[in-house]
Amino acid sequence: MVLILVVAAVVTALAAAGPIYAHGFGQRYDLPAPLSYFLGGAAAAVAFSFVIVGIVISGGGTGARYLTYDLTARRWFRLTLGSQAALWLVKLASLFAFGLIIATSFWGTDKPLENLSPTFIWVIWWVGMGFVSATIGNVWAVVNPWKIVLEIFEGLLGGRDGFTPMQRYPVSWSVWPAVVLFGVFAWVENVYGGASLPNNIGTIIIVFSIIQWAGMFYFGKNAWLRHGDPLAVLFGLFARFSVTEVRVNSRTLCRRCELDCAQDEGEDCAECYACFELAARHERRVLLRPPAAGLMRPERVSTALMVFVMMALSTVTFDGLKETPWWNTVHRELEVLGVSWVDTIGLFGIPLLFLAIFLGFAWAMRRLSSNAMTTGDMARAFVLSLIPIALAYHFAHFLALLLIQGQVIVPLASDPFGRGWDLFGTADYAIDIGVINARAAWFFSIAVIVVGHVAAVFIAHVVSLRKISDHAAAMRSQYPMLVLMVFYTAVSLWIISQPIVE
Amino acid sequence: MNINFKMAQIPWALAIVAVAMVAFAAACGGSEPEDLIFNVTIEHDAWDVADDIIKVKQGDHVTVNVQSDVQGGFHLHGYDLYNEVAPDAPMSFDFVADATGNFEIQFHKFTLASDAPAADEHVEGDEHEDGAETELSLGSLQVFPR
Repeated sequence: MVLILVVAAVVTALAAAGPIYAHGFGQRYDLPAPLSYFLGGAAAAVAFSFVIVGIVISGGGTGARYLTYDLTARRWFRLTLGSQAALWLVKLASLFAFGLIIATSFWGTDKPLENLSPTFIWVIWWVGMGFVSATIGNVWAVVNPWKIVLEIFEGLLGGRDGFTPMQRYPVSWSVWPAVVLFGVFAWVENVYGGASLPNNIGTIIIVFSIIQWAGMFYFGKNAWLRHGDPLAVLFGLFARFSVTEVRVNSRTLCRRCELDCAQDEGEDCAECYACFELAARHERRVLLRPPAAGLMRPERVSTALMVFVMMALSTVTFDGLKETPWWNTVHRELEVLGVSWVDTIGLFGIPLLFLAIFLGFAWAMRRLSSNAMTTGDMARAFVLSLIPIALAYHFAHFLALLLIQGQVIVPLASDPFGRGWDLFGTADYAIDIGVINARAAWFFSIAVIVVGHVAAVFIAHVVSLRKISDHAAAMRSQYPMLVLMVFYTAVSLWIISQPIVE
Repeated sequence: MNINFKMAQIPWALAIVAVAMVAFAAACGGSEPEDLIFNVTIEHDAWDVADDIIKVKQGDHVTVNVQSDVQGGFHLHGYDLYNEVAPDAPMSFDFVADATGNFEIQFHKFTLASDAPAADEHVEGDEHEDGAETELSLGSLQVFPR
């Protein structure tokens, strides 16, 4: 309840501030991909789908076990990346960046392009952290500044076991607080026009910090990070696709730790930070694994998490969709009809539409496989398999922005407040607009979307074999899923091939 | 709806992918760079360019002639070319479009606080004591790969 009030207050405050469009920030340098690339990508997606169906039909596992490589067993890893010194160095750097961003937001220039905050937050952190999470691993779990600050205070004031939560996190809340907060975040990013103004960024960070610390203090750090913190949940989902994971090698410990980590059917628990912290050092594992393996683990997905995934998928899509001429036309025509808040309606309407379509397909899957599972069970079981398609689109959509606009961080590093400083002699660095050729960008975009599609189809097939015991029925359940995935991939490709309009 | 997929179908699928790849490659034709001239007129906060996009190919030598009904600065982002123009002083600039991409074009319109335009008064940057600068997004320059 308190949470809802706080969120409502933030939205009202931001809405009252009015949309102030900041020209020149977050500019897109990418060209629409030509029709031939679009068609080639779509054809490849369909063709590869059949290849995977062929492979899975002729064998394939259940995803419960996959090949791993234990990094913690390696001396070089324990002495370098896995050492306490390295972790604390990274954490201190993160805290420094956090403090610096708040300082530049409030005491730097109000011009978005000349202040460190907007570029750091929206290009380096938001886009960059997504890329890193989905490839390398859940780096956010280490650099999350709110978590670090709380841990420092816990170490100083909390005694041996840290702060005792004031209340046990209500199981029935699931990840709904994260869903609500992610909705607010998505609105600020995509609809609220003032999100590139340094002062607003500062205010948003302060308000969000209060929510984060209150949540962690009240419900316990790990309970909040797992259920309430929209960023931890989001980057955690992205990191399921990555090639690393943390794991605790003790079933008893996994059952004992405060959270619902023991739901995996294996002998240990993966990507559960509450258990990881409780475990003795020799029980903690950092493993290399095949990409996307984290999305295939046998686990229960809650309804709230399914809604969260749907929101994440559709906001990524909406971010591109709102720059297409088609949306521009829709926007204009709706405004003529007297509909205001068109982008807001789009932002929150599209997830509902996605969810409805997905549930429709889940119903068809249930019918075709004549399975005892309900439509809801079916939807929850397969929702994670859509993540690679969204990730791929995220990569394709933001590559040029990260590579070109991201370079602005070089001059900004020398003059973070926009006061004419030149700390490192890079203040006059001019961005290299030729760093990525349009053709290379097209190839990358299409290739990455096709790869994402392939991963998605593969994951869905593996899940179907696990969930539906009858092999033939499992395969039948995948026809609707395949149609949905080809359609979703085609939508991503279509957006990439659209001219960008502001 | 009882189709049985077999491993034997994999080569077919791969063949389709290969054809798609060839189609990709075929779409990339080459041609010689050209000298292109664009005459642009800015009137009532807009310009007379079709779809608001100037389209060229990589390597083209591009000349832009600008006329405007108000005083202001014509700003091509990315290439970062900025030239001022006034009603009685049309402007022209040229460059070689060596980087591909989509580059925003803005018009920084100068409006003076007193409606009567003061002669020979230079308004530059963002510090205007007697006037303001409004940024209008005109459209963009798109440089396609050759």
